[in-house]
Amino acid sequence: MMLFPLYWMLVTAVMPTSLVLAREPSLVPSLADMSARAFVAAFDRKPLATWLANSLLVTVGATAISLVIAALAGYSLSRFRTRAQEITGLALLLTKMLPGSLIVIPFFIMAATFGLIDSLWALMFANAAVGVPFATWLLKGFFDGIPRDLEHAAMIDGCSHLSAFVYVIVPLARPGLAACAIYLAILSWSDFVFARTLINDQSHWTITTGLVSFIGEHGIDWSELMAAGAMSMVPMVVLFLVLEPFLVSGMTTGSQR
Amino acid sequence: MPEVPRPAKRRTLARRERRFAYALLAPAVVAVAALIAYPMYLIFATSFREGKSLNFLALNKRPFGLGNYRDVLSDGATWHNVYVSVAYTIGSIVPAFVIGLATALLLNRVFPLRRWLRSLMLLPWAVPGVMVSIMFLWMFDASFGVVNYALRTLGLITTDIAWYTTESTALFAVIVPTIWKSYPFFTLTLLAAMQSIPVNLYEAAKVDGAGAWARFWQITWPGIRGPAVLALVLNGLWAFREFDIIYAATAGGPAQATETLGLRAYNEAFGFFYMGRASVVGVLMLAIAMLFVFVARKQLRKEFF
Amino acid sequence: MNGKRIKAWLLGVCAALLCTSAWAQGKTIELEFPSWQFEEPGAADYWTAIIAAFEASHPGVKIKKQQIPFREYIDKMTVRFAGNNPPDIVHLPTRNYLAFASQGWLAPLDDDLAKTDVRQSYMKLNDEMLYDGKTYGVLMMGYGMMFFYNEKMLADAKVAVPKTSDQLLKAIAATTDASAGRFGWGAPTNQHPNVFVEISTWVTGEGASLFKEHAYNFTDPAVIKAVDDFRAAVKNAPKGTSSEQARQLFLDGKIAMLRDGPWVAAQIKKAPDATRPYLKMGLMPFAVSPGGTSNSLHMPAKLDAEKKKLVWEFIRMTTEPQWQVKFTQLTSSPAPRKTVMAAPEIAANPELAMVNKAAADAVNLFPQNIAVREDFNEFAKIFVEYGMKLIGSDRPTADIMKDMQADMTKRVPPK
Repeated sequence: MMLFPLYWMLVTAVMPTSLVLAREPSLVPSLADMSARAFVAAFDRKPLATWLANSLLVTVGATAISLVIAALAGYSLSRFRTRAQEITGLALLLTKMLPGSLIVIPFFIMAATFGLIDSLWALMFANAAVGVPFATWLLKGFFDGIPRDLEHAAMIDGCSHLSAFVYVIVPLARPGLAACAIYLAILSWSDFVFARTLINDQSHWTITTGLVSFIGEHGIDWSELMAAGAMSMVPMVVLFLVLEPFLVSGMTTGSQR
Repeated sequence: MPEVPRPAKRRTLARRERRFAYALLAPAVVAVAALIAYPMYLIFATSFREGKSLNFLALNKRPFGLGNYRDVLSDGATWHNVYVSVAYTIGSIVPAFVIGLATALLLNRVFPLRRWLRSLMLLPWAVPGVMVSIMFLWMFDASFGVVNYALRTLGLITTDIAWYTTESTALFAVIVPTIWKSYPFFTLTLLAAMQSIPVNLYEAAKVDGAGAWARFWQITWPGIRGPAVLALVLNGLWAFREFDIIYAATAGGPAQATETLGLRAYNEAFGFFYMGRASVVGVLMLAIAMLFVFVARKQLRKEFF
Repeated sequence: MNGKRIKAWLLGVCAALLCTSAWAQGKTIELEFPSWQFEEPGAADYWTAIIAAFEASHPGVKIKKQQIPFREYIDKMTVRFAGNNPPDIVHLPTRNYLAFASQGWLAPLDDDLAKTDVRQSYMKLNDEMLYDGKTYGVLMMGYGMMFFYNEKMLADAKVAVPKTSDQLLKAIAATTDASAGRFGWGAPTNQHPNVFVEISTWVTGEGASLFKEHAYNFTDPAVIKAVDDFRAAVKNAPKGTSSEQARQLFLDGKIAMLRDGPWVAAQIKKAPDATRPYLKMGLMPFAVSPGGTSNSLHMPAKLDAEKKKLVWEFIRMTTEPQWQVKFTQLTSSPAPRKTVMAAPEIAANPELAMVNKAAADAVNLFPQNIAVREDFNEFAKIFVEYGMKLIGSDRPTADIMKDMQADMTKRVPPK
């Protein structure tokens, strides 16, 4: 039952419009009616490929930036107790409270000041910024679960602390990094409010702003919209299905601290 | 057994270690300062700038004063926004928690294809908020939506309900997709917590003759209580500031029926161009969220830091 | 997921980004042109044709079209100007342009216009481009509201084509069968700027007006009667649709009647074969023919000289007689140049003659008060919020209109 919305999306995407706009839709469509028309039409009518590419670019960039920053910070917080720890905790909570619809106002002013409206860079940084605090907190949990003896041993063997971190700790924290990457990627991929506000140029839109543009035009072609929506989910679903085991095991380690 | 360094050497080592610690932290601090702290300062500063401000780059040329606070706090609509925000948050979080708990209990059992079912159950989490909204817009479509069709077939309604454009049903209609999007987060955290409960506890309880109900309350619940509260707080904060789902479905309408504080801030800023008022709404949101965190601080401290 | 691979990815991505941006800075000049009309049958054909002609006569210049849904168009444009990032060719619904001109965002075109015959040969509605003694744009179209109906649906319900608002309401009720997915009336019923246009059409059409000289007139008994009629009609309209969707449902044969601009006639030509023969256009069944200015072209104040010259040349091209005729042919809408209607290819067409008559008789349904026009977007937003109450609740009309009168007077005071 929880999966019905996804099922209905796919059914709508493969049905001809005449059956979609029916007062008595058939819940189980017959194979003979199905077609990929809507997928072709959606790509034909809208620059879906461009939007998907933009989303991918922003997501990969933002995820990489915040993952690196958060891994360094999370490790630091895990290994060294400083006052920064509490401040970071607070910063994290604050960002959790800070609505995107609010923070986008100063982002917009800043982007306009620096002439970065319509720039995918601005979008990438905006997404990276909101991801860092939570990712730091998540990763700190993982690093806490890795015994300190390991990097000490490596350092005695002549490694610097940084290389001990890179070559010993990071490989061990792989499930945590994967869980964190999923979290960050989903965050960026789903972003709507930044993309909508900071990007005007249609060729720089991301998939979420693109999807919304299907609504409010000359009659919504629900088949096309659902087809486009299904396409928009493919990258995240693949990532999710491949990395999902890390997510549960990652969270388990996280909560076992 | 690492050899113990001499005191002097140890001090420089400690200093170097501390410098290393700060160096690792530096990028995060810069990111947070430039992209979170400064914007927050900007919001706070803007909240004192009065009037309509169609030139975003000259906000600091607008008159300074407390007028925005007076306008917003004395405006009945603001308290309506607060009510909608709270109703939306509680209305979506409680059912999402119940569904999340139920699915976590289900997935904690061992059965064939569990891995795949688990992935599928968690999938809504990976769907962008606006797409969730669009899927439910379609299912709840007045004329051709499957929901009205089901209700008609069951004889529960005779005329179609326009869920998203009727004042009395719109809030419910944006809560449903929110539940769907947010339950996997509960499933995930609760499942993770359940899997860290030692199996032998259950075996011992079974030997003692405890039923399923008793086992849940005596073993499972104490084991997941902490993460559950944390998840409730985090998800509560998330729902309180949720924007995408509501914006794509109703943009706060009809007639402000679904206008949460987050929507109000955006509409004031990018619909009416009262940047100052929008900032005041934002400050109000932060104040309410902080109050909430303050109330839950004990639990948070335990789970968080 | 190891760090190295991520870094490699990131490097690749950055390189790609740099390459594309460097490439984009090539030699051709791009004029950015956002509009809500690029997917509207008729208007879209006109823009495609004139842009192609402009590009052909201006080698090295490219006009970049940007389609933006009408519902969010004004907000988007305002944000762009407010953020100091205006488009090159500015296309606006004329009722909104004053808000942009009063901010100093639009360039006066008087010097350029003086070298053309636009002042002498355009219809009087073009005077709306005057603000504070200067001319801030060129009108694309002024129109009278038209009535569209599905002949077959009326015949099936055994009603004649209505000639008065009473007959219209009866016909709407007779043609509606919601359980079969058939609706008598089509109207914007979601939060959409055109909710104002719909309500103002009913009020103006029944001989009342929402505006007095220096005040709103929402509580006038004649206004309330007209709004009551609007509510009765919209009860038989599909719920939660935008005006674009309502149009589409009419073309698909699910809606019997509709009020809309003449451009829908151009869309009927592309309706499905099953319904097209039955879709007709007529004059509004009202005592008064409501209408107004539709949309206009403008130039941003902040633009470099080279682009200014090109944008002006594009605007001037739309005023040329041949493109005015083409406009009327492709969009079935009256063009502002007075001689167009006399052109042989237009005069011979009875449909266009009717459209022209409606435009000539039209009483303006938009506010004339300068203060309200300067703030039209805010006015329309507040109006639509109350409109949603009229559409979606059972509260008495008089109460809602009273609340709106007080609220609007406070928030957008007319001068």
